[in-house]
Amino acid sequence: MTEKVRLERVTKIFEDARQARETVALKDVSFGIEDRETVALLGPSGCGKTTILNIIAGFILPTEGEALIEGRPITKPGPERGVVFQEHFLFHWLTVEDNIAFALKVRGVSRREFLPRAHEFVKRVGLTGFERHYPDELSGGMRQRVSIARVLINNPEILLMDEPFAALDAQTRLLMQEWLLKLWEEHQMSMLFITHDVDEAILMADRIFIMGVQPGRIIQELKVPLPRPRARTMLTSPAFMETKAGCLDLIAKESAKIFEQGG
Amino acid sequence: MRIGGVFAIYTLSVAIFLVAWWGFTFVFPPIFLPSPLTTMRKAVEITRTGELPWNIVMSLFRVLSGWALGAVVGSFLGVVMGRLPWVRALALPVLEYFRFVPPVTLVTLFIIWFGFGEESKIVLIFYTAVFIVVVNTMAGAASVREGAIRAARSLGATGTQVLFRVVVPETVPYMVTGLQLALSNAFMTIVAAEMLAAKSGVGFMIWDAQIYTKTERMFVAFVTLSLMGFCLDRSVHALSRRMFVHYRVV
Repeated sequence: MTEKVRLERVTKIFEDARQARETVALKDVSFGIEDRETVALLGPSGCGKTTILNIIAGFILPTEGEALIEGRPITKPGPERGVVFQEHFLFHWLTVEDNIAFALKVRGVSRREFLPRAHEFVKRVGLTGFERHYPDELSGGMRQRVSIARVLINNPEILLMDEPFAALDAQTRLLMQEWLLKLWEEHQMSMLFITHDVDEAILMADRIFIMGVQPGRIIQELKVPLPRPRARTMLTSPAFMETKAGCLDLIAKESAKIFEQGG
Repeated sequence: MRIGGVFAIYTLSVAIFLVAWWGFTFVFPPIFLPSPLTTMRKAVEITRTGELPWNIVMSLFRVLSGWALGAVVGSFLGVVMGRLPWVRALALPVLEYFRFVPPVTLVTLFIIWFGFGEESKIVLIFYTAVFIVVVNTMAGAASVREGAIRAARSLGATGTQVLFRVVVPETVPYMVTGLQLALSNAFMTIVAAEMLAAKSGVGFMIWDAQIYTKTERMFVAFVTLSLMGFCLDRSVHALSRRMFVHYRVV
């Protein structure tokens, strides 16, 4: 199997010039994401999971170490890495179809050409009939499906998901997780999935990296022993429970450490 | 029902005002306070002679051309200043100083610079409008959601595309607020300028009436001004809301 993404000894230090203080957001992080693999980063806020995503997305550069996409160094954002944010960040002045077609428009594709493509993706994310609606007229789950369609139209090498369902209510979140699993079966793309929800990490991922804070780093890697295709019913299976127990153990140990430090 | 309710309240409010005005005319002589009816008769008379419409057109022409010019230049500068911190840092102190120079005080200077014709008044309105538009647009451009910019860039947008397809649309509500504020300010400035240095316009009407104690004409001008301002403000409001329905204009 070929690796889509590789981080090699990545360290990220944020400097606060006003307070002359440095924050080590990430320390010595190395891992790879293989073709068609879903990797989940699981950890509390402040563990640097979003920093990892921002580095792979090309929004920020590592202070030390290397980030590669298909062997090439990452220097800036690109359409081959599709980013889905927690706060969807749709363009609220554009309709659903125009949001989805944004990447084609900036490439200079004519309206006559991009509309059928956009409609195809509207259909794929189950929003037929909402082509001409505006994001403000949609529910949270629908908006998130638009923002996923907006990156899928680029046929990306990898999806970078930054807690995409964290802002949704519990029922919608479960529906969206199932929906994304189904979508994954169709597209079979690589995925980096950031979450602080243990169930979500196990359900979505092939491998989970459990992260710790101060400095942000990977504490342990866990393989998820669940087969594909995944389904909601697995949430209560013995294999799921066993993995969850392992995750919670590691998280509890790390949290206790922060707790004792008065963090 | 709601729109009807608003209309009823407005009508009632104006009616109460007119009755109060009429009541006071029994206390003061007409040279101090002409009655609403006398004012209306005068308005009809000078509308027939073409004097009132001509002055309205002149004032509107000055306000709208200076304001439009200020809108274009102000929006452009505002976006640049909002997006480039070093330009903002350089320009902001100067803006802060000029903010406290009331446009009216520049009337005579602009006449020296641009002559007694329309140019000096249009430049004055431009000056009035441009600062307000710049300050508002800048605030908007500086507060564009970073996530929206990142989303666009990761979808393959270039710097210029981000500017025109994300930054400008996100700034629209702030621009509209700036344009509305600028319009009401432009209105106040033009009246003052016309009182000081013009041979036409509603401001000139007031000045002219004051010299010859033609109180009726003065009151016609007051009513005209309030109606012009009200209509213009509402039109801009309605138009911008219609044009930018999905831009979250408030």
